[in-house]
Amino acid sequence: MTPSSARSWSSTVASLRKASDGCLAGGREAFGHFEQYVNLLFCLTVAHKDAAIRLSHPAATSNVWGLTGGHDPRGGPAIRLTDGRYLRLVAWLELDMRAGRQLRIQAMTWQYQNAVNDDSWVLRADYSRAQIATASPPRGHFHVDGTLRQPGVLGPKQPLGRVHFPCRQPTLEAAVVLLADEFGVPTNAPHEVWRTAVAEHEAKSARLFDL
Amino acid sequence: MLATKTYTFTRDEIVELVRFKSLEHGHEPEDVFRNFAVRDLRDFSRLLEAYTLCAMLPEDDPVFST
Repeated sequence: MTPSSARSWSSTVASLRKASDGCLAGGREAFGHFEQYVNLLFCLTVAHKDAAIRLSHPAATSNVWGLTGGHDPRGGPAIRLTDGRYLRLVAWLELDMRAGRQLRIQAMTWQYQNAVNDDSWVLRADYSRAQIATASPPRGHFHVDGTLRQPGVLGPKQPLGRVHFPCRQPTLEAAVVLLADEFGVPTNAPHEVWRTAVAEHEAKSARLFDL
Repeated sequence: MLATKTYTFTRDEIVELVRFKSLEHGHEPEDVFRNFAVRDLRDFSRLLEAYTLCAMLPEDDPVFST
């Protein structure tokens, strides 16, 4: 995919808007709208042309579906990016029966990494409504794999990568802005197109987290 | 557009995938089922796929009581 005119992306932007509205409408159809939204968001921004995502759900009736990067259920859940690196993405989606079957993100992780299926990660955002572990970190938080320049700030057995930097909702819009603006990952649509779309939809997407 | 696929899994396929994903990351599947049952989502990022699959099963599924 190569950057092109804003006009050539107008139908994608319109479809993105429709998918975003569909996510907020709730009901079982919201799962498909969410998959479509993620697809189009990454298509506009940082996804490589060979990137893939998948939606999984049980044959039995259930309010829980999963969205992950990649095609193969036994493969790594990573979306190939335009810079040759990957975004590992897993989202646990659920319909909230107490709130009119609204779509909710129950948990999510996205991780920028060097290779498709190993631990060569750069940064990661985690979010969970539920308690993650006994000593529970903030429900939304970031990790950065690196080292501090100042010695002795962290304990000897606490690498920087295990520090939980609090954040509220680590939306996918935040992910693509971070990747494009801070890490220079090339985008498919022109800057004014994808930035406008992200600005329009990020607040709506944050409602799916609804802390 | 990105390539997309939608998978529909039976109960046994879900259990098998949880086992696969657990072992892939060096965890005993029984520990993952047990931890999920009490919502102790340890090693959260690596195991979130497995936990999501667990969430697709009924809470009273026998796999959570082993």
